[in-house]
Amino acid sequence: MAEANQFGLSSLNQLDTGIGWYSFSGLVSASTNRKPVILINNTGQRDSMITLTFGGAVVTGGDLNIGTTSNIEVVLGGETIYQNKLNSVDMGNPFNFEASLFIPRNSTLIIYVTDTDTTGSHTSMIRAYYV
Amino acid sequence: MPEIIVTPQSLVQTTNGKRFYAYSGQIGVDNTQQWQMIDVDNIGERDILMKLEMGSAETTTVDFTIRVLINSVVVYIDTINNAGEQSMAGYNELKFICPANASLAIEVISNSTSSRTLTIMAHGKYLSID
Repeated sequence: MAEANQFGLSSLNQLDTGIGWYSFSGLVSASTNRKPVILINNTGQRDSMITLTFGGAVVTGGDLNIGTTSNIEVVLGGETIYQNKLNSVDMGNPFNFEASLFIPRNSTLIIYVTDTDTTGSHTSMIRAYYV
Repeated sequence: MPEIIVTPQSLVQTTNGKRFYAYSGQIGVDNTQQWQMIDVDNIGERDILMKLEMGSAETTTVDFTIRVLINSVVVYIDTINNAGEQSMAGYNELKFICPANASLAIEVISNSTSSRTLTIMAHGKYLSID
């Protein structure tokens, strides 16, 4: 059997080997308010190369013809360094995106999500390697 | 040589022990339940980076909702379809880290009452120091 869940949502989780870290927001209900979905107070004593994966707002078993629009924002040390819109309306894949960036050591990293309505839930994931 | 058994319930290690793979095989998916495409009770004693691709040969446009559960926690959810010329091949390969000794499940549900055949191919590497 697998061990009981050891990772925390929205926080930094170190890899066993110490070569990097990861973070999951978990399911976050869509909101028109700007919601912090991942909050990392200190990214550690080494610079990191991170990749953010975002799936947009999802209704389980839903219909893409209805569509939904979400905005995701990457804030590093209080400054917005990247933001993008993801529209899941049925105009062809993909309906997710990845963004990669370097972040300096000892940074505060916050991922915010804002939706145009309150339909569905978001998930965001970060995988990171120390450089 | 012993036969290598590839099932949706386990990660098969490559001979050098650095990588792994898992295939769901063909599974009929409808809107009655979450269909488990890959379901590994324990991924093993090392952290992994997993990459997966979903595919369908269906000619009718169907929306599928895929979700990733680690230790029964939903860490990723997304909707994908096989519309028109785009096909699922246009979807970004999904990549994520899964911690050691965790359970891992990939589940799919469709918005169609009819059963639609899906496949998932997954592979990845163990996150060691080298």
